[in-house]
Amino acid sequence: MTRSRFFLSACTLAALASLASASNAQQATGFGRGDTAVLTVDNIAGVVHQRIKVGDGDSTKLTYIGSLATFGSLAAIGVPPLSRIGFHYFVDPSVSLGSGLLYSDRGNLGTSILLAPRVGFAFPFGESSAFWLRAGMTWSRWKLEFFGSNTSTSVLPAADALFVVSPVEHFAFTVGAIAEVGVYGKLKRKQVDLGTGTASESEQDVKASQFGLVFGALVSF
Amino acid sequence: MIQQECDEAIATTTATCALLALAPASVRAQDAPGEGFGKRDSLAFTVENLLGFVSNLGRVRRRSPVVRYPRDAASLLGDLGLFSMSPTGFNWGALVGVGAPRISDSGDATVLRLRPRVGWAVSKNDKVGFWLRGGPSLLMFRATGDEDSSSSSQAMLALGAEAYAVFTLVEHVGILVGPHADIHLLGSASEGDDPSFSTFGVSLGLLGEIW
Repeated sequence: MTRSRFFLSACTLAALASLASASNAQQATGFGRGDTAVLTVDNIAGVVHQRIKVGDGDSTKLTYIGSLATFGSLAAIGVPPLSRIGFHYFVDPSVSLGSGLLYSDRGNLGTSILLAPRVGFAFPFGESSAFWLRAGMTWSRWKLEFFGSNTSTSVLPAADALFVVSPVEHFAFTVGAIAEVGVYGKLKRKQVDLGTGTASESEQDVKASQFGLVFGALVSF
Repeated sequence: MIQQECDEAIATTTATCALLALAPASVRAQDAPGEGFGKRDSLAFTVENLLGFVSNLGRVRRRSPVVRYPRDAASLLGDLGLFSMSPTGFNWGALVGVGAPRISDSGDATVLRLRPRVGWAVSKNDKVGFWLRGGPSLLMFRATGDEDSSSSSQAMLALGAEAYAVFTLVEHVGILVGPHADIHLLGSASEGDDPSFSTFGVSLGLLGEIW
């Protein structure tokens, strides 16, 4: 089952690469051609819906609308609905490799770190617009130390379908959909009883997913 | 007849002038390379507070009937800006940050941060420039309860300024780096003590001349 899923995923990626190459062969200019390095600011604003489930408890649902916080977060457990800085490199005119990155230390709200490697496929429609499909994984970790510690780690398969519009050379806006589906996550709690001084540890499963329509920007050079 | 033709000619000329007045921004943004930041007509889009350090001082009423929107979250809202830049160096525009989290069984909250700004841009060469800006900063909170439908709101006014160094990476794109501050002036709340809010930081942003 796992092997067939892997095979299916590999075939899908190969088909996307083939389609993207064909698109680029027809299109001599555009996103992914010429400029090979791309600096992105993803999730600047938009609508993001999160669902977080810890252990056997009920799911907490959070919908965030607006300009998404840059180096802070409301959601501690799971994946933060934040702007991310990313760097991607076009190894081929149609195929990009790169990653989004986030680090946030907010004192009494904890520390978040996120890494989001992506393989991308660009389908330019001309010099100023393109589709950029990206797929990969998102790994996030949040830690809060306050009378003990809470550490949440999540791994999420992810995909982004972005429309790239470039009003001027080297600069573009992105608009599209993002999805990160929680398949693995752990919440570890270490607590210290202030009365007795004894420490206790517990661990629970966490499933955090997020979906959204987001807006971003990129610089190509 | 002649009068009508004159009127039409004047109307056409006026319309053409109006279009030309709008057009140079895009034409110059596209076709005037290498002049440096703040040396041409353009419309600049900015994303600010992307990375950096922010410290908050203040007193925002903590006892909320609903969502506890962290008081320092407001300073971390993604700030999107739009500025009209002129070749004289003068520029004006505004930054806006809006956040509206809705948490199941907890009610909701809305935060708006609006920062109109006038600024002055100077550049030594086509790679490095400076951008000084100032203006009022308005911060508003509103929280609504889920069960008892109670709500509370707060509004704060501060005087803000930013002093950015602008590094032009490639044509039409700049990186903003520098300090910014909002210093509290006034505050009011629907109930309880008047809130205050000041923030100081050093951060990094992105600028694109989009038109």
